[in-house]
Amino acid sequence: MFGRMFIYKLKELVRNRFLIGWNFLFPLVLATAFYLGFGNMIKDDPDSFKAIDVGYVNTAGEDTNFHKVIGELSEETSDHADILNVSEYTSEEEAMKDLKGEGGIYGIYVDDGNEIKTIVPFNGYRATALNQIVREYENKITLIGNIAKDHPENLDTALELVTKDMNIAKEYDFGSGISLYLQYFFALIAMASLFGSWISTEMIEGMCANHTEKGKRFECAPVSKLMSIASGVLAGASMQAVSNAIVVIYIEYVLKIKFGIPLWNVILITTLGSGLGISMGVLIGALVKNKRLFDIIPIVFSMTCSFCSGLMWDQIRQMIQANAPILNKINPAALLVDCLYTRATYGTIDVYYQDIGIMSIMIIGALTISAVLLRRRRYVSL
Amino acid sequence: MSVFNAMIISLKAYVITILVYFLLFAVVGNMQAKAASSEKSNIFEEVVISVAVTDNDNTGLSKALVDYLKETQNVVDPKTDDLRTMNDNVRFSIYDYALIIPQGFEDKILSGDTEGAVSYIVPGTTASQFLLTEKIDNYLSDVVIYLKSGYSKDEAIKLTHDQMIDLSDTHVVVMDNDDNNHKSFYASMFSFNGYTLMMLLCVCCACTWSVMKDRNVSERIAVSGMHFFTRNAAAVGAVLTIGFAITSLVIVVVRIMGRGNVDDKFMYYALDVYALMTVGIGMAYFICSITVSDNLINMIANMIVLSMSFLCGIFVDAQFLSESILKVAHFLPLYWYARALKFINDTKVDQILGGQFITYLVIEVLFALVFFAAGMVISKKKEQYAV
Repeated sequence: MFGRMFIYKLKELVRNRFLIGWNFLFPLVLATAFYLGFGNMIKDDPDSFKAIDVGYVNTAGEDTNFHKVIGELSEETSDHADILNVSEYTSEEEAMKDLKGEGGIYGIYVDDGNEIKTIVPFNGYRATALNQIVREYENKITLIGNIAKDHPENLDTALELVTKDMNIAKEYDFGSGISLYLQYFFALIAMASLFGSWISTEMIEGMCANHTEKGKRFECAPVSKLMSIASGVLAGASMQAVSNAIVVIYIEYVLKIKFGIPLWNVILITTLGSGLGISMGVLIGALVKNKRLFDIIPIVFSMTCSFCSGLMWDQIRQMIQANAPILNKINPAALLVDCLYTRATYGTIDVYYQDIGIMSIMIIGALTISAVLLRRRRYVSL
Repeated sequence: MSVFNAMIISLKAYVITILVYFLLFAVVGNMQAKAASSEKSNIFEEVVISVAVTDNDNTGLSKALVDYLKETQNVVDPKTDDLRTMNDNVRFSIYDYALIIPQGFEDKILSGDTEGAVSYIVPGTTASQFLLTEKIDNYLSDVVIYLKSGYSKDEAIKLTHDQMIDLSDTHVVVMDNDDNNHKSFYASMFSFNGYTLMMLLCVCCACTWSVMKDRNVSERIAVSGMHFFTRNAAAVGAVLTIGFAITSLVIVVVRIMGRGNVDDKFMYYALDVYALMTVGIGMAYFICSITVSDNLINMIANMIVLSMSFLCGIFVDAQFLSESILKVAHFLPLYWYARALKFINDTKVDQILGGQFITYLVIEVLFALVFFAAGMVISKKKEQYAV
């Protein structure tokens, strides 16, 4: 009996054009849209530092120390990547023609042998970086001047140290450096999982005699209610899990965006997410009595949770984490995103298992409460 | 008039949809516009980096380093001592840089063992990482050189500090004369509007139109004796009125939000938005010729408009899109809308009204006509085959 009900429920869900459109097609379309928008940035992060195109004008008439410094900075060494991309000009006027930022140069150094003038087209990181180079150069001149004045006996040591790279600041290495833009794909999978709540409310609606004709027939049918609800939940979860797996495979193999997690592990997490979406929908279906709200609440619930997990704004989840972390622990979409993000960035650490644990507890809790609310419903008349 | 009134009244059912998109536009659009917009300035301003400092050493040298950072950067509370959380905070821009001064830092520097004396967490090799690491390295290497040259700890700290602060007046000239180096508040706001306005128009106009396409309603109107031309003109008039009202409301809202920003190009932005309105209405007609179900209209509109927004540089600036995507985008109306916005932003106000700007508007209107034509063909075929 259970198998028969499961298959018929599955058939019913698969034939629902609305659910197929939103749960199967929409995530695929959105993933494609994300790929078109962020695809380039996942492979080549626009925030990464690139050598700055700068012009150099020497009005001193002879080679200067600053010229040597920027020459060194435009070469890639074991200590640093190339920082500048220097083009030499004969006059300031000539260089000014190319001073346009994108498609030209981002600054001009005018070196008269004593002072370096920096000309930039607008403020920003590049302008600050170009100025910083001059600052460091002038700083070292001042430093050597001070030592020559106060401790001339140590001047040689100082000169040696000035040219030495001391590597004082060291970066922490967290291993896998997945692109930040993957966060959007994780949030998309979370959204698709929560769309599973629509499947549940659709299913519960068909089981409520006060909502649909089908519900009246269901209430009169001599079948175990628990079994039919369980088979419906399983059918919905299966459909949503397949839908999520298709989205994951599409992203990994068609769009060729790697999550940095073994495929079986992603599918396992998204299947858990599907169960979470379905169980949340069952809970909503059990709690809500108004027929109109059956459509509105799952949409509002899934979209609010998805927004807070970073679907539209990648920072929001971390902002919530910094200010009210408890909200991230009760938001199913944020839990799923955190689980995928943690697994991809740090591997199977405590937080990963904690997320899985909370999601599992949420599923069990939601289904238990729903079972209590849905059992032995009484109607005035059928 | 009764058809016109009925269609306007039917809009009531979509008040929540209108409110949701308006809120999205007003909140997200405004935040995005404020973050993306910048103004011309000929005064040099250093970029200030937000740095979270964890000082586990608490010695004279570590305090001096923190004080130097406080004077030149925006030092914030790391809110955690967990390195993983700090890494997440840095990656998601809660702050730009996390500096950890370990216990024994001063002893290490004084002993001359400088390598890895401080640690930092950054979101990859970024401009902020380069800048602040350079500054910290520079500061500490100066201290080390002074110490090794015979100065005492206090002298080294004082000299380094004074030197760093003195250098703030390096000679920088900013030649900020071009509009295209900046994106105005209105350009940013209207850019996001490309998505929200299209969604509003597609959903509201298509759903209102679908009311008239409902079999029961259309058959009753057909037998009512009202002239074919009158009833269709009323339907078109109602949809145009709804479209015009929504668009005008959006423009007014943007104007109110940007009241602090002086921009005499506002009229041209508004013209571009009205051109987009025709596309939105055309697309609404096209969608409702495919289906009259509200749910399906919503779904199709979402799929088309979202994809188009990503392809055409509405959510992500066109400069980050690949060339092949931009080539495809040429065949989409939102691309021309975004191009027109960029043209208005980059051009001097007295040079905007010309061939190029008008071409952009005409292309948008042509797209609207194509959607109308496609919708009419589908409707006719459906009628012909009684679908």
